[in-house]
Amino acid sequence: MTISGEVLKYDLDNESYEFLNWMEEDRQRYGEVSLRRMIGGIGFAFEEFLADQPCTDPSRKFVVNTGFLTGLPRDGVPSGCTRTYISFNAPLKEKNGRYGIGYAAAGGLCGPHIKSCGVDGVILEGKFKSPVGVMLDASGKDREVELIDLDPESTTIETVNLCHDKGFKGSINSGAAGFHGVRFASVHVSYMPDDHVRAAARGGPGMALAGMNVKAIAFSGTRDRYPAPSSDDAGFKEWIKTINRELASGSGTEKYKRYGTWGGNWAFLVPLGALPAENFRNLNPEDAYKLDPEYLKENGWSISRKGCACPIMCWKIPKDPSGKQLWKMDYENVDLLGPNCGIYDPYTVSRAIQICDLYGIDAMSAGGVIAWYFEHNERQGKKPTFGDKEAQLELLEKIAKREGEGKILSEGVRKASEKLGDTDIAMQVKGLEGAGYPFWSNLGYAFALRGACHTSLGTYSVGLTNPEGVASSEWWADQIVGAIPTSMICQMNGACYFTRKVLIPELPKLIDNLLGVKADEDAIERSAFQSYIIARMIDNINGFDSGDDNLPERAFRRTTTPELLEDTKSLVYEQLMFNDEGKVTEETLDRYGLDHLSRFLP
Amino acid sequence: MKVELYGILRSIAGTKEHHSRATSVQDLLDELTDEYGPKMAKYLHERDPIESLTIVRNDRVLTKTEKRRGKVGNDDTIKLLSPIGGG
Repeated sequence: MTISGEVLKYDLDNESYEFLNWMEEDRQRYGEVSLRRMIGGIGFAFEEFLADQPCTDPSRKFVVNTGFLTGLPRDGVPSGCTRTYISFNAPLKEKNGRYGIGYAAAGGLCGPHIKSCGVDGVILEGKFKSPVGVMLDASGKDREVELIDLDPESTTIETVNLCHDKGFKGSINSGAAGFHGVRFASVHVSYMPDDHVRAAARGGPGMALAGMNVKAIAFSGTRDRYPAPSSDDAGFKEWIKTINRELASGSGTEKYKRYGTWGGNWAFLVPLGALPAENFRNLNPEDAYKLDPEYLKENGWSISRKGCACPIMCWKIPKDPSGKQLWKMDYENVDLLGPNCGIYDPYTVSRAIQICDLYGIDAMSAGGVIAWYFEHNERQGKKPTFGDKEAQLELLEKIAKREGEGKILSEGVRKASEKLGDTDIAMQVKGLEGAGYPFWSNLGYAFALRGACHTSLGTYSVGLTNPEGVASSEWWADQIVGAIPTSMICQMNGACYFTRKVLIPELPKLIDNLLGVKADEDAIERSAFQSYIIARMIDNINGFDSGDDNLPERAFRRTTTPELLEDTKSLVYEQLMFNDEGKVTEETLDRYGLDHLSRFLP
Repeated sequence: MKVELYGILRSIAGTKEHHSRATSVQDLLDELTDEYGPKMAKYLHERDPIESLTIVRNDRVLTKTEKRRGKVGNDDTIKLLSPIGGG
């Protein structure tokens, strides 16, 4: 099967480790290995965070893992499946000194390389006394783990290159921002030299990892340690080739291939009057065209395609008419550091994203925090405010170093607004700054696992395109609960989010042939719901409840009202069998086959 | 009637704007298929365009019922949007 059934478990307090046979441990503990844990990603990892006590320190446990599909076509899995998942108690998702669950993910070749070390992932516990790299060397006959001293101030790219020079091609590292205590610090997931722009960013994994005094986790494996598919059937192998052709040239991935997220969303949100600008207060910015890839191309720019070792190649790298190459541009980062901060200059936006990537900061959260700060200053009659390009770049440096006003901003928009005022325009949910879509059109943000994240509950566009439903709580409840399975599976199986239309319908066949397990669509959907429910339990243990399933004041416009949200909440809770406080109940666990976890009910 | 094309639809048509005398959304989609050839036909017929395309008439998003049965006229401005691609 395409999972090894082992993880590296490293105890940093005692400087000891073991290769834990987690499948055997699950069998002994529960009498079986659940489909959810085998599919992997957050389905495996979240259970590791269930505890009797609330989490008061987000740097006590950190899980890096993969999905059953994570690998390369040569390993027998479909293309576009290279994901590495990071699970942690999220520094941004704090309530009364307790931390809810968080996760982040990235593509690239690191994920397959982790599995080439003969493990499905790594569980780190405790803290080391000084900044180190946890180096897993599985290139020889025996697997060994060594701690090496690393400079906490080095940039993400310097750390990637240093690991690579030592023979560790795969690495996950925290930039300097995590060590400075930036709550929205990211980690960077890489495989090759100069490969430094695959951020697993949302929620603050960089701060969680740095708090353990771990600068990097690095991997050196060999291909023969990659776990082989259960089936050697020639017909299945041929079928995989047809799937790969569909991923490479079919309609299910065409929009990502052709435009990436940047151009595709610009061509959708701008004509719809739904492009967030100036801290989400303006959804129809007249200068939006200046950052439109089509406009840039008409004016002599070129935009090349790259990707995470997959045929979709969603990355877009712009070059100006003089041939100068800019940093990688994704929709979310461009909008949130661009129009949302009142900035329409591609050079500034590109440089801003680059600063975030090198220091290890979530560019989306950074855009949200600076946009809020600009509007806060505007209200106070102070500067800097919207459109100040130089100030934005300076603020990013100050945030990364926690200097000057950057110190407060590095706490995230919720805490910064609680200290400085203007919480009504802090565009966040559960501490996480919003994605680049209008808040009014996504009630799902209130129920999304990470907070105001568009992929952890994929309802970010339904409100814009279904005018017949948006005013109805029944419609919203169905959309929200209906989005849970796909949203969760995409964070479990190892496949890129952009492959979902092609691969999710084929999961029963893939699970059968790659894991040797018979699982129908209902069983897979149940596994996905289980992941959501376990996450909710962890949040409940840490004090999160119905009051946190909320939206910022600015979200309440057009059809979205506080009453609509409250009505929707009741219906969502009813469907998921939560109680009125939004907490998981015995009935929830019974319905989703999680009775064995009932001792963790708060 | 002025029809603004966005995203993949614009790439396939090779133009930002299309002028139409269609009287319904379905007629308009048929017209696009005839005008812009097999690639447009393939794109529109591989999915249910009424379900997948967002259609904006005079700055208002049409409901599915309006897309299936609604009339359009010469004075309208129509925007045809390919599906969103976030992530």
